[in-house]
Amino acid sequence: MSLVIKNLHACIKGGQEILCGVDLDVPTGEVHAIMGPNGSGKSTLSKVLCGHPDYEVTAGAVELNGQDLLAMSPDARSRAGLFLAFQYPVEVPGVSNANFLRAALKARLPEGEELDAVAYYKRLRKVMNELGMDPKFSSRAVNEGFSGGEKKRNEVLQMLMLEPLCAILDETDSGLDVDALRIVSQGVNAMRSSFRSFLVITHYKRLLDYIVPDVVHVFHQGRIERTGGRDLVDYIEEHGFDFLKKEDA
Amino acid sequence: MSSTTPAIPPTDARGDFSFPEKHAFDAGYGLNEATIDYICNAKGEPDWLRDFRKRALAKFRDMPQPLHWAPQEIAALDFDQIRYYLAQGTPARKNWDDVPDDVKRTFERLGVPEQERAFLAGVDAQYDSETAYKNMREELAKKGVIFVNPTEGLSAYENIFRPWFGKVIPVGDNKYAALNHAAFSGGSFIYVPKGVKLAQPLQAYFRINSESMGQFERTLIIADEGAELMYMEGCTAPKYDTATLHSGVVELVALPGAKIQYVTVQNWATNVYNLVIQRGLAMRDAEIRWIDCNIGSGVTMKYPAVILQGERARGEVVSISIARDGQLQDTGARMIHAASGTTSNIVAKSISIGHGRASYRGEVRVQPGATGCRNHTECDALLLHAESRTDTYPAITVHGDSAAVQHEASVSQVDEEMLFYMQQRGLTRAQAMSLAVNGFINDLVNEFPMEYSVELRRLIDMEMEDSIG
Amino acid sequence: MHTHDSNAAPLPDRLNEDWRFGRPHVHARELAEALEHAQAAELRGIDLPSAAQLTPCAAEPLPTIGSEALMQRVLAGVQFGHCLRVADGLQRREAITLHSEVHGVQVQQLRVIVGAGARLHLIEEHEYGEESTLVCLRRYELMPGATLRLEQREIGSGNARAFCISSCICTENARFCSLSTHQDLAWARHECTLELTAPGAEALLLSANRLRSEQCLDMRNRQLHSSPGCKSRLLCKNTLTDRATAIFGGNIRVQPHAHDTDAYLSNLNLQLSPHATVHSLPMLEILADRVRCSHGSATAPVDAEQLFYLQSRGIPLAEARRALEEAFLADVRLRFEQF
Repeated sequence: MSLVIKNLHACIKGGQEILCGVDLDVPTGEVHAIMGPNGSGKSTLSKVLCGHPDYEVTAGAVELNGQDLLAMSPDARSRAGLFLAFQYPVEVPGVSNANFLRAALKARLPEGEELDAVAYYKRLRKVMNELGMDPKFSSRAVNEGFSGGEKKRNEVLQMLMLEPLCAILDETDSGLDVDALRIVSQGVNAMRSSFRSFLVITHYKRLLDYIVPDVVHVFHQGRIERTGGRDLVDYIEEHGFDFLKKEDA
Repeated sequence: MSSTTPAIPPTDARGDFSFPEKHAFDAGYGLNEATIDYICNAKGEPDWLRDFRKRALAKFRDMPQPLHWAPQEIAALDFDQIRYYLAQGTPARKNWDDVPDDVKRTFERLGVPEQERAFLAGVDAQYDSETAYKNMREELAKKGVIFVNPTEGLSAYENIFRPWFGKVIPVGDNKYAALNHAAFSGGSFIYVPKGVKLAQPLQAYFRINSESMGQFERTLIIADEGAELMYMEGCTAPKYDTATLHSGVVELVALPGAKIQYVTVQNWATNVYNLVIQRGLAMRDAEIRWIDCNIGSGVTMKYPAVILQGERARGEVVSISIARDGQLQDTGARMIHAASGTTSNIVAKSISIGHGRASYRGEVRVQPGATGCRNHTECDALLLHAESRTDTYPAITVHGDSAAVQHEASVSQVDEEMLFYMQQRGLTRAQAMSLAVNGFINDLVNEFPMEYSVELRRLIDMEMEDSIG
Repeated sequence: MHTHDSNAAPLPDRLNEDWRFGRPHVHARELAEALEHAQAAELRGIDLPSAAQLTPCAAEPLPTIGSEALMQRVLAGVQFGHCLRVADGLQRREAITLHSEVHGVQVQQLRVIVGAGARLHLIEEHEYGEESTLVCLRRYELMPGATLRLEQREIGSGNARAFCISSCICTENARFCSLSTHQDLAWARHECTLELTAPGAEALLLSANRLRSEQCLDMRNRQLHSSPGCKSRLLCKNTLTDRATAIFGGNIRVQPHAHDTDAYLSNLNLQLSPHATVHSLPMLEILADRVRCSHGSATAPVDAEQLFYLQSRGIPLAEARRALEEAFLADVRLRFEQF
């Protein structure tokens, strides 16, 4: 039971290759961090895993708990338990947060089954409260007019509500102040469990002080260049990503 | 065993829907003096009205179709192939079993009550609203509100209705106005006395009978000084009819300080030409709001207007149009600022699906001598497919240096990133599209009374499921 | 398109939507009468380089916006015009000026072909004598990668009238920017059809006009996107005093399959007189998807707050109004300079 990526190659449709043979195994219960310089392709990895239409997979395989992810539509992948906290969450004008989440939860129920509205709103309010979100946010349009930090918090709210089996956090720390970072991390940590895995994509050490990873990968030129433990984070914090360049040379 | 739900066939097929008919009164095809005599005799109308109709007939014959600006689709209308007066004196002999399954299914999905379904499908022409709304009618009568059909209005309450009848939309206004003046039957005449504010909306289906949703319905609403009312007509459920031309006239008169809101939800079958003239006259400090939603018909031409006749009068048009394959929604608004300090607002949103075409056509005019007027117009169009079409044809005229008139329009598509975001949360593409489209018109849907807005949203969901899912 | 029969198309009348508000029963008729004794106009090139020469050429029909009949009459009367051919790759910083003085009723036909990759700044200047009328047919063809910056200056006087049909065709990666100004013309109508025919074409149509006394300016524009991946912008600004009238008709037409279009049009009017009139018809016709199209139209008086602010600094009312009027039009020229 895990997320298994084998020799994944992908390019922008009709464009250059960005993922050049990614191999990654995230067993359930573990938190893996992916670090890497700008433009290394780590955000592309998250989009490709979720089936973004701009990208084309040219080779490789991805399995989530034994299911072939690449054969599924983006929404089927989500319902199979994959969640992406977007680096740049999208605004959905006119659609309230509450209705959006409700539709997403309803999509997970068997056809014809209705969501218990009372229980849903109770839970929504509870989770929002834990994340320090104003209850008014539930009636505001999804991400519309939200500050950067509010958007990121909203992503985590959705994650907590949808309870994925595998969650990818793509630069979730950017745009968050220290207090928000703490609250968001608490939310994530509360979700850590033996049946759930996390892939935390980040540029900085900061987030990994709060969400402590089991394994750390360094992404470079479309593939995983190095894998190690927590000490790798400290090494990067001290030396930057320069060591990758030296390897190139 | 799972019961799979059959998808609704393309909307075009709905228009082919017909019933065996039997009408007690039928004036036959074409419109001439004999047709008018037939109508007048059947209704027992006074001589002045007979003359009025005949003068209108002469105008109708003289005037050309407005093809120099109107969509060319109306050129296909053959006025000699139309029946101008049908009235069902006896209960219709139609059978619910004759209603196609897709139609029944649509009613079911929309959650239309059993009794209304039969009426809407044209099966039960005698939908007994008298009992259902008896209490409401007594209540209205106590307040001095008159709510009758045109024939009764012009005979029993001639002194109230005749002075305004045909004044807001004169007979020679355009060819279709003349047509309606000549052939009108059915509709509502309403008078709300001074200072009476009606909390409950008045609905056309309070006194539904075979005539009330006729081809050439005629509505005249007079709100006396300080009176307030909301009127609602139509419904989101598809309405089937054998008549292919519908050309109604709606006149509103808001006397000083009065407020009228007129809500229309139009969902005719796609074989229908729906050419409607709606115009209101707003006196000093009065307010008229048209809240308009066009979903059905093959061709609709409808531009609700407000003539801001008195100082500080206010006008507003809120318009939603949805054009699917084979449909042309040519809708819009007109605001005529004829007095100082008048303000108006137009918000129009359209959605073009498949080969559908939605056009906004509007006029905003600030007359010479009218000072300090304000208008704001916003038109937004959403195109769902590569073959979809949208147009914007506004005409703005401003006399003088004290008016602020602003018009903005935009055309957009549903953002792919937005769809991906929603899909990533587990919604199918159709569900995501449906949410996005609902979001696009959300602020306008909220302007409709609750029961309509809920149905509207459901209707869009269905539409998206059918066209994408 | 045949022009043998000058009476083939009827003169514009009230039913001609492209002449809406334009009083065709007066202006189109007067123009048709004037055309009966029209003569070809002189055209003088100033400082033309050898790579851009004026030569005589045969007149050709152009797309009009509602004035097919008038164009046919023009072509029936005057068969020759001028052609300015700019060699491929010509790069020229200094502007080229084409100057003409208008007397009586004159017809001018000009065809400008800007060769591939050439870059040119062209100024067309028409100086009108009292009571004169100029009828102008102009066609601009921009070859792939060409850039044309075009100023059209109509400098009127007295009762002068102008009627102008322009057509501009932008091919692949061509860039076109025009700035038209009309001053002191009793009546002027300008029909301009822009067509973007290949990906990467881009156009910016600018116009800034000060209208006074009984002057009437009737501008009709069409931005025709017939290829995917093109961009067009239009900005027309007018200020009106006295009993002036400004008519603006604009239409962004995106043809089927012209996806990824980016188009905008804007008509802004500053009303400075209780007796001036503005008619604005900003239209969109969109037959493709993945487009970004919008338009705006605004008509408003001078901002009372701004006026008060200037007055509070000691500027007399009349001067303050004039300053705001100038400021209103100034950014149009700025945008031309920046292109």
